[in-house]
Amino acid sequence: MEVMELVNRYINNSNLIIEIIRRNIMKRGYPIYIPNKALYGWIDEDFPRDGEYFFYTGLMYQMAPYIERIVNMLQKLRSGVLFKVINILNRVVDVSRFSSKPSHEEVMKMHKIIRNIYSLVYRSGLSVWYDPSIDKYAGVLLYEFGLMDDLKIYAERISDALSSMGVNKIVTIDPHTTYMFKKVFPSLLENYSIEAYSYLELIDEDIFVGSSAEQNKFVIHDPCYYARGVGVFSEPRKLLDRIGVEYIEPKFNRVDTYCCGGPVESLSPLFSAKIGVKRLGMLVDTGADEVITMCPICMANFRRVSKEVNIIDLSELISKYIK
Amino acid sequence: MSGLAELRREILRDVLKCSYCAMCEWVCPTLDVESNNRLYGPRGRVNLIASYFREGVDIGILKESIYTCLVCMACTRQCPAGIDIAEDIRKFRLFLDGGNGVG
Ligand code: SF4
Ligand code: SF4
Repeated sequence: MEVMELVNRYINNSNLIIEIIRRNIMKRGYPIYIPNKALYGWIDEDFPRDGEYFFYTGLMYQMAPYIERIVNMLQKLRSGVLFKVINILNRVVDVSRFSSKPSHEEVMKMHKIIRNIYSLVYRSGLSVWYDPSIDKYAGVLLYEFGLMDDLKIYAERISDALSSMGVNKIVTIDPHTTYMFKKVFPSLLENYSIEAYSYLELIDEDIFVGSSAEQNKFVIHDPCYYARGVGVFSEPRKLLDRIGVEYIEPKFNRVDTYCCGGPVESLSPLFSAKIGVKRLGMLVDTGADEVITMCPICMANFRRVSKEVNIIDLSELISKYIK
Repeated sequence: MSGLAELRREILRDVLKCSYCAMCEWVCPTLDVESNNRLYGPRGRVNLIASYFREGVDIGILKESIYTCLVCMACTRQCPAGIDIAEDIRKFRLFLDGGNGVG
């Protein structure tokens, strides 16, 4: 029962946590503090400053290691009084700055994933371009918390900035940002005309050498917001088939996938971890050595609950086979 | 009618379609995390929302139930009554937050 007692304590403080996150997003443009270097340090070459598709990272991969840290910090805060103090403090300074920092390696790993995805779309022959000043967090948590008034203001800001730079097509790299641009913004904003595609929809299969040399057994985990949210689940499988990577389908796959537990990590970290353990158990029970994910939130939540299982991003695996 | 009242009606009309069949429960990741307490599953959440609007419920219990939902949409696909379960829960969070945006 201990876990439920803790969950209750967190939920009772939920409006305080929501307020901290809301204020950060609206005032600072991100839910938790992340140094600029971590957000944009993955850029290691001169990207084209003009093109057909804007490469929109939505900052989720960059944030994932930091989210893991702040969730650990929240997990340690048990008293309501402390939460209140923190909330007052957060009006002046961003309290998420005080959590411990992820290791350099973790941050670099995420940067490498983003660069891999960029190569995948670039090598597919798309005219992609990038400009860090308009690549922003898409307001995912405002949406999940139901803060629609704030979200509307926030989304307008994002969409105006994109339009002012002439963007009308974007490539997204994580399921949550993809869902915001494909499903949420069109119903929320008037005069919204941005076409969004997940990178998985745009990769040209012919860029790969079709002869996998993988010894390990893989299992595939679909993120909810790709599979059920925007109907992207056959695309990654086609790519793996093309390369010849064998993978196992777990119990609950494709549109019937099972959530990693990540979405409630900020409001009830322990509850979230319990779900992570359950899903990871199903994945490992297939006999696989490695778990293929396609979402930084899934990856972070699985990593948080197990250091032993090897969790990889689909892009890491497939980009090894670009011709 | 104010935005909040309209939203209330929209959600209530949807959740009242529930026939307690429980077809949504087996896919819900939060249902058996600790106890198998029905309030941590879609059917419980849908009916707690209905009770909140009609007769009022304990706000502590309500928050635990509503804010532990992952909005993962697994349940929505299962419901034979066509209730947009995950979306109703997400929208309902507006009420718990004092109606940001529709007040
Ligand atoms: S959306 Fe919420 S109620 Fe529905 S299956 Fe997911 S966690 Fe359960
Ligand atoms: S499946 Fe639909 S009708 Fe059946 S219990 Fe769940 S919410 Fe109610």
